[in-house]
Amino acid sequence: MSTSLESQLPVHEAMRAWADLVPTLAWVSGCDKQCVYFNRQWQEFTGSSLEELLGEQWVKDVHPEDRQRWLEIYLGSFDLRKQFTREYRLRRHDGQYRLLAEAGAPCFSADGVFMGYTGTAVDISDLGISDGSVRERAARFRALFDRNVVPLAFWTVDGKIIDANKAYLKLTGYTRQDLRKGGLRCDGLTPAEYQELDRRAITELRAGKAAARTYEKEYLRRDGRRVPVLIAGSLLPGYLDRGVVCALDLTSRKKTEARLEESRSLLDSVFKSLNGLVVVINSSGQVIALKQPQTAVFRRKSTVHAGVRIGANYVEAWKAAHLSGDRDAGLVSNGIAGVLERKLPEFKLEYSCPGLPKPTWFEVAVQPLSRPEGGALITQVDITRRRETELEAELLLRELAHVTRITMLGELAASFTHELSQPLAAMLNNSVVVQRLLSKRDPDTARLQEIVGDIVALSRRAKKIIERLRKLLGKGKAQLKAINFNKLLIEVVDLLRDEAILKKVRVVRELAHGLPLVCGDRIQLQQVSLNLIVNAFEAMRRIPAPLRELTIRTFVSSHQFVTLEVQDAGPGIPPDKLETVFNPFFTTKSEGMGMGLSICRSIIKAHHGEISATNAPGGGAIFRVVLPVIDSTADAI
Amino acid sequence: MRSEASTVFVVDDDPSLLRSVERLLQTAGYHAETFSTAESFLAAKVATRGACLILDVNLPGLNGLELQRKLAERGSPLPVIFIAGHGSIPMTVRAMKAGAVTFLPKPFEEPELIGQVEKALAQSREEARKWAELTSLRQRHATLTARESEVLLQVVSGKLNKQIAFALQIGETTVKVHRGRVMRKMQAQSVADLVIMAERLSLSPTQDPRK
Repeated sequence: MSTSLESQLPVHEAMRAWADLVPTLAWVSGCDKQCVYFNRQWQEFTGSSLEELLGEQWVKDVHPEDRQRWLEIYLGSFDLRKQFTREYRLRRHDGQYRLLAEAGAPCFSADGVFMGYTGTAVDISDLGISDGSVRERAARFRALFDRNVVPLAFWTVDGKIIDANKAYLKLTGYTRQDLRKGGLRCDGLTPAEYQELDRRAITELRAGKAAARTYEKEYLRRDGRRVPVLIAGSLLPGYLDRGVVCALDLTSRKKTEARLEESRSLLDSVFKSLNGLVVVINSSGQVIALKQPQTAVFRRKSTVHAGVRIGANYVEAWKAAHLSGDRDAGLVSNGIAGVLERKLPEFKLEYSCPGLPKPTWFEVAVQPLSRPEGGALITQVDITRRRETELEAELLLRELAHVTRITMLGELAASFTHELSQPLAAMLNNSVVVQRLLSKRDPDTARLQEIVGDIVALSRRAKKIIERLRKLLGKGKAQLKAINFNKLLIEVVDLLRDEAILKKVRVVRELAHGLPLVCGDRIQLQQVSLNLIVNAFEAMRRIPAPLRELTIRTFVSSHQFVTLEVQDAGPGIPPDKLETVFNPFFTTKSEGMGMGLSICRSIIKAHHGEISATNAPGGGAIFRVVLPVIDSTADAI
Repeated sequence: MRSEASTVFVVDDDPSLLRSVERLLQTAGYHAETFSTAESFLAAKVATRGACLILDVNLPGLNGLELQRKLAERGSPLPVIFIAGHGSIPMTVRAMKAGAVTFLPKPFEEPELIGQVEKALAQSREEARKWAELTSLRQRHATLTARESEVLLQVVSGKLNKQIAFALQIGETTVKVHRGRVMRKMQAQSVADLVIMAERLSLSPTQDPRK
């Protein structure tokens, strides 16, 4: 450039002189587009000497974001020898960038030879609003760009990202420093498989086929992770080599989609795997979806399941089954109707299907579909196995309960025979007296009446004892009945009266008035009470007789539960044994089998109740049985 | 042999059984007195001489065996017939060792009960007789002077007059006089009689029962 400066010295002298005359920043360039002079104002403005500015040096003072465009305008106009105006930011000596408005114009010698360009620039940073529209626009744009939550970036065809907002940097994991150093590049951000997609999009944009291209791809973040993004790219208006891109993070949408897909396939597999009949019906009872199991029980003609097909009315099918004599089918059709009409939150029934060679049990469950148009989902599962197991367990418990009952009653046999011998002895005595009186010539009939009356009462007493014992000794079918627990306890205490006297135990009854009824098997519940009371007797064997007191207490523990407490005055149960006492084979007696409390627990569990042991604050153990009531209406003792 | 006025006490906690036994005894011609607890029987402080007690083993509070022991501690000679709904062997053994007449399981037959009541009453009467005898013997013994008592002890231990005189440091004639008085006061026919009496009075040569 210095050569050209010398060859065209006179003209350039003139241009330089002009530059020094104008009151603004000014520069001069030669035919080779190189700058040859910067005036004094320029030098003062930037704080650099002419030597420092010449060559490429001055370019550094132009704001990096503006440099490219700045050059393009210059170069683009130069070849056409056109005037141009441009706005750009230039660094002042204090390091602050100032917005300059610049005008450039070609220079010709007197004989019309092109000599280069001259340019003047004015600092418009401090101009008022009317004059500062550019600056304001730039500021507005900057704010819009930087604070936008949408990731935005400017790119060039050669793959550079020349500017990006915070959101974009956050998305890609790069820093502003990376951006400044040119570390952020389109190809670096794009995994290999998407590069072609990018290229095609740019090609289309440049060919004017589309104003904007939108497509999904992935970004390769700086940390190596991939982010799914939705790309919306377009060229900057008036440019073919640069554009703007908006990249939306699709991660959460992808996740939701994946979850949706997962739950859909899960539902599908659940639906398919249900080992029963699954019927989905609409609000009028028509079957809209169906899953028929392969097991034989569901395919028999006699069952209501066989006739079910898409489009058929399922409620009607049950009604028909009911009419043909299936009692439970009526309950099911009512249940489904109830759920469809939203009168019932759900419906469940275990029923035995008639017409099958061996007893078969199903559980039918009706769930409403939670959608505005209504409908219901009905599942039917073959529960015969479970039912059989339940029955077996019930039978086993009954057997075991019976055996332990017999054992326990055996231990108490002496007491029971005493209970029985008492009225028998009295009867015999009375009968002998009657005989004697009758053998006299003039028997006293009033006295005879009285004695015979006693005999009758005593016979009844003996009969009652025998009946109770027979019931306890018998195997007895499990019979669920409404039971007044107080009455049951009084019977048990009566049976154990003699045992209590023998063991020198004072029995205190604290029975609540108007105790609600519980549902259960009388004999099994008597067994539990008997067992707890006998245990309490046993627990007090080693304490002095006057202290042996047993309290039998009943009360309502809440609206739904009746509680029985058997409290002794014995030494109590070691805290670590409070749970294990209910284990099978736990015993403190040398001759005991240790099944008593274990059976008690099984019995109470079968009654949907709970049994527990605690120690009373004043000493002694408390065994507590809690049973659900069947009716809230109280029943007097 | 039956004494019409004999009293039979009955203790049982079962009122109907108590009533039936009472009737049975009345029909058999006894005077029956009934109690429902051992405590009420003890509190009544009845005259037990020549009577007997039908006692239920299993009583609330103080039980039959305990009542029997209490009576023995008081020195009562009242014979006891136990009745029980169920008598365990140890219980029976304890009762019999403590001197019970018998142990009848309920229900019992009338002849058996009456038979045992008779046995018990006879025992009671015999006891009464022995007791009366002993009482009179004690009264006779009480009339002896100190020296006569000493001579009595020497005599029943088989010593000769000479030995007694030496032991007591008195003259042999004096011993003879004391000896004659002892025989008369004790109403003894012979030395053998005197020995039996001393035994009944639980006298031993080394100790004087009055001390």
